[in-house]
Amino acid sequence: MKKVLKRLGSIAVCGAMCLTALAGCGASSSTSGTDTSESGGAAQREFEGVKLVYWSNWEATEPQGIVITQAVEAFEKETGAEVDLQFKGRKGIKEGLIPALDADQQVDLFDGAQNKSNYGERILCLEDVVKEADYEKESNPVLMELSRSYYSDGKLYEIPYQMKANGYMYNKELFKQAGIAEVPGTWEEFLEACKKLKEAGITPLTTDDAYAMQAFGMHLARLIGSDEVKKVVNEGTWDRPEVLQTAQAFEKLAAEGYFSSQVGSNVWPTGQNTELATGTAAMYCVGTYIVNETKNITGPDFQWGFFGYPELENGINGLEAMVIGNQSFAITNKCKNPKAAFALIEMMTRGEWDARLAEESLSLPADINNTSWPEQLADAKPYMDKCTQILATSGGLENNPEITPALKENLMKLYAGTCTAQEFVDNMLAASKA
Amino acid sequence: MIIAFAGPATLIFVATFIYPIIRTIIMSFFSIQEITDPTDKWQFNGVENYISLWETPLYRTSWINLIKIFVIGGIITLGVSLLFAVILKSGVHGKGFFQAAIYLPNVISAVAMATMWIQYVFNPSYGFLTKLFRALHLDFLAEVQWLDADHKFWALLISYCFGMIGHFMLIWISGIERIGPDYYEAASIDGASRVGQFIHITLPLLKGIFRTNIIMWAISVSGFFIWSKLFSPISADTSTIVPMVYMYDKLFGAENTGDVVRDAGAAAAIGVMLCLFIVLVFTVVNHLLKDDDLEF
Repeated sequence: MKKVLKRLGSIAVCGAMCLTALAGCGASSSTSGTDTSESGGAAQREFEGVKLVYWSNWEATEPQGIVITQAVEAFEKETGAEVDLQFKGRKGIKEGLIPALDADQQVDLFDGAQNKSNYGERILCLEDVVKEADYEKESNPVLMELSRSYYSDGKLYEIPYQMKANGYMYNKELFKQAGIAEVPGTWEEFLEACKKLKEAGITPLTTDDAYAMQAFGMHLARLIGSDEVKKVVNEGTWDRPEVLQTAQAFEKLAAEGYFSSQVGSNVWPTGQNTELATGTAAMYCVGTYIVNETKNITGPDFQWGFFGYPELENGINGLEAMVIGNQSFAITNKCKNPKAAFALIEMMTRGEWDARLAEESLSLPADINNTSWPEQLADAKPYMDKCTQILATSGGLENNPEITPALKENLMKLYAGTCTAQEFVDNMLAASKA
Repeated sequence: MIIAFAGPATLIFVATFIYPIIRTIIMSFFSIQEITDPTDKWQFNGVENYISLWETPLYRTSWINLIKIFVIGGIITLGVSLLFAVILKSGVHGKGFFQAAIYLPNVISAVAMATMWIQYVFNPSYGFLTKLFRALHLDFLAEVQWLDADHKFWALLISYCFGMIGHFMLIWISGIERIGPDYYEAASIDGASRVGQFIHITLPLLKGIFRTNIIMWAISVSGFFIWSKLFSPISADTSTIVPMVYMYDKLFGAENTGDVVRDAGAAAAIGVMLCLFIVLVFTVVNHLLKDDDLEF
C-alpha cells in the first residue's frame, strides 16, 4: 500500500512539474500573443496571457488588502491577465523592493506611501500612459500636482490613491456636550473651544509622541510656510521669532490645562487609542487615517469630526493651505507591459473599486466622481475641495531625521508643560549645534 | 580526506560569514546610497563615513544610550540573575517553578513583552505601577510618568533587563553546578557563613562564567533594536535610540521625512563599529578575567 502511495505521489509531483513547465511556456508564448491581440484589437480579455507581479504595502487582512485582492480578481477576470499579488507590508516594501529590483526580480507594480522619488530610475514615468488613458480628468488636480512635485523633472511617476488630510480630528459628541456649535476656524476660536471643553470637564487635547510634530509643524507653517519650516529644521535656525511664538502658543495650551495630563508619556498609539477613541479627550491633530486605525475601539457610533488647522492672525496662509497626502501606485522599470499594469492601477483608483477602497478603509477616494465619502470623514471634504496649497508632512517639521528625535522629545515636554517655550527654543538650538 | 570533509563547511562559512564581513568593512570606506548598488557606483571616501557619523549628535547619543544599557543594564541583569541563581541553588523549595517562572519572559516574543510593559505596566492612568503605588498611598511615585522624556530610558532598561535575567540566570546555574559540594561542605565545617562561601568560593570559581556572560551581554546589547523600536514607534527617540536603530534608518530611510535619504556606506560603518565594540569588550574581559589560575 505504501509503495502504491509512493508511486502515486511521484506521478503527482511529475505531473505538477510538467504542468508548471507548460504554464511557464504558455505564459511566454501568450505574452507574444498579447502583442498580437493588441494589434489585432481584441476588445475582450485585453491582457490575456500577461502576467503581472504586484507588491502591496498592505497586509492581506487589512481592509485595503481585502479590497485590493477582490479588485485584482475582478481585473484578472475582466482582462485575462494573471496577477501575482504579494502582500509585503510596509517594512517588506521599505526593506525589500529596491534589493529585489536591483537583483532583476520581476516586480511590475507596487504601492506605498507618497513620494517615491527615492526609487530613482527604478520606476517609470507615467505621463504617456496617463495621457493616453485620459486619466487625469477625473483626478484631484491638487494631488496630481503634488505627485509631480516630488520629481526634479516635474513629471508624473506615481498615481495617488487613498487620500488623507491632516488637521484636527475631534469627537462631535464631546463638542456638543461642551456647547460648541461651530468648529473653530481661527486660533482665537480654537482657544475658545478648548476653554469650553475644559469647563465642561472634558480634556480638550491629546497626542502621541509619533504624531507630536503635526500640530506644532502646521502652526509654524501657518506663520512661515513649509519651505521656511524645512529651513528651520535643516539649518537649525530655531531662534527665529516665529518658532518662539509657536512654542508660546503651545506653552499657553499646556498652562491652561488643555492637554491631557498624561500627554507627556503617550507612546503611540496610547493617546489615540485610550484617550481620543475612548472619548476621554476631544481633539487630536493628526491625519484622517486615524479613523481606520481606531475603528475597532470607537465602534460605528463614534461621531468623528474634522477641521483644518486654525488660521493665525499674522499667518501667511489660511485654511486653503493643508497637509494632505495619499498612498500611491508606481510601475517599475522591470515591467514588460506598463499598459496592463496601468490598467490595473486605473481600475483600483476609479469608480467602484476606488469607492470600495475608501469605504472599507475609511479613507478618501481618488476619483473625483466618487462623491460619497465615508460618513466619518465627510467633514474633511469641504476643506479638501478648497485646498489650493499643500503643506509638507507636519508642515515640513519632520524633514530632518537627525533632529526629529530631539524635536519629538522637547515637543512632548512642551505639551506636558514640563518645559517653557524659551526652554524649548534653547533645547532645540543646543540639539542642532551639538 | 580532511579537505573533503572540511571543504564544504569552510566554503559555506566563507560565503555566508567571511565574505559579508569583508564586504561590509570595504563598504564602510565608500560613499554608497543603496546596499545593492554595483561597485562601479561606489565612491571611495576614506574614513569620511566614520568621521561624519561621530560628528552627528544623534549618533553619539545612540552610543551613549548603548553604553548606558551595557553598563547599567549589565550590572542589573548579571547581578540579579546571579543572585537568583545562588538562591535557587541554595536548596530553596519550589526551585523548578521559580526557575521556569524567571525564564518565562525569554520564551515570549519581545513585541508582546514590550507592549505589555508599555500598555499595562507603565501606563499612567491604568498601568500596574500607577495602581500599585496608589494602593500603597505612595502618590508621588504613582504620578511618575514612566514613559515621558525624562523616564523613558529607564522604563526601557527595566523592561529589557526583566526579560534577560532568566537567560543569564540559567548560565550562572550551570556554572554553579560545576562547583563541587565538597568545597561548601568544608567551608561550612570551618564555620564560613553563606555570604562568606559565596564571596570566597562561588565568585572566584565563576570567573569563566563571568567572562562568558559579559561577552554575551555585549553581543545582546549591540543588537539592541526591537525594544527601542517599540518604545519609540514610527520615528526614533533621543532617549531610546541605539546604533542599530540609527543604522536601520540610514540603510532604509527614516519615516515621514518627505524625501527619503539612504546611506549604505554609513550603515556599513556603523556595523563595523558595533563589531569593534564587541571585539573590544571581548579583549578587555579576557585580559581582566583570566581563567588560568584556578583548577577545580
